[in-house]
Amino acid sequence: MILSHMGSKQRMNFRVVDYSIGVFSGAVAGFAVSVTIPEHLNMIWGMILGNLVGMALSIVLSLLLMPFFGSFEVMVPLHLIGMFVGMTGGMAATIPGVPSPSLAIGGGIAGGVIAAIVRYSDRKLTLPR
Amino acid sequence: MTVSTKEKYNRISKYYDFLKRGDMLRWGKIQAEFFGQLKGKVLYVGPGPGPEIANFPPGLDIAAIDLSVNMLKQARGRAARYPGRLRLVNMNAEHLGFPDNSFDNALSVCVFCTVENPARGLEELRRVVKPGGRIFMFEHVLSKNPVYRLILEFMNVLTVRLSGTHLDRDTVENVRKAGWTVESDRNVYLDVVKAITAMKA
Repeated sequence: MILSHMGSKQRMNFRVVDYSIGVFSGAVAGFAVSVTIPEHLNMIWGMILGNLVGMALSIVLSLLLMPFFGSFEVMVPLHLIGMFVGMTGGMAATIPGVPSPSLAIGGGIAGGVIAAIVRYSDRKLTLPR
Repeated sequence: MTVSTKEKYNRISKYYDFLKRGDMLRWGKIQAEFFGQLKGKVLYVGPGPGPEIANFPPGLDIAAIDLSVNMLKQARGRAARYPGRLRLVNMNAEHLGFPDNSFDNALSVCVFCTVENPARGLEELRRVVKPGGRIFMFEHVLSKNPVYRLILEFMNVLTVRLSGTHLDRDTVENVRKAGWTVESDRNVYLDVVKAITAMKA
């Protein structure tokens, strides 16, 4: 039996939610690395520490959001965002003069893009074979 | 499933509905369609507090087994409201107390991530399902995509400790190894959440 709703599966209801979570978590991760990673730190260390901060934040946000918006639909993009924004934001935070709002905005944009990539990947993978 | 996992599920039984709320919102419609294939006498493995019961077609004769007594207590109300027959039984999926070939279908929803020995559990299900009968599984598995796989393996370290949930299992392959003939494994979310149908030849 073909599950006819696999392709659409209430996406209309959760599309805005998924992008909002992506943008929000990316912005929070960007801001978090900007205030935790010190300027003038070696960029490699900034990347490693930023990754740790981003992943820790992803775990906390996942636990808070999963009961409301679904386990895997929250966990997978959030961890990608935490990892990517944490690493790149951590590197950027080591550059003197980069303001926190810039990293938060950059993180928000990256979060939205990653959420879109995951949604596209989901659409491709859930198409009837 | 270890005793500690049983205790974990007993402890979280009161909050489980809240924790599953988002999943039910996402998957309710898909589950209702998937469960629509259930017929006759059904063995429902791991109902927990039974949030999926609302998505079952009416008129089935269901035996719902769970290792956690507290989860079964939480499921009583939903079981009573089901328009068919639904019995709640405290039982381990790896050691079923039912005779051979006694069910038309078996169903599991996010259970074989937690069963300690999934191969053993799936063999037991195969024993109690009649020849030509089917198992319907709504389960999460480890992704084949290296990026998603990395995330799941990372989170697996946490989820195994928190709830005994394994995010790194290849349940479709486990179903095959247990002697079932996999008819379909459709992706519900990425290639992580799947609706699997298999037949006992």
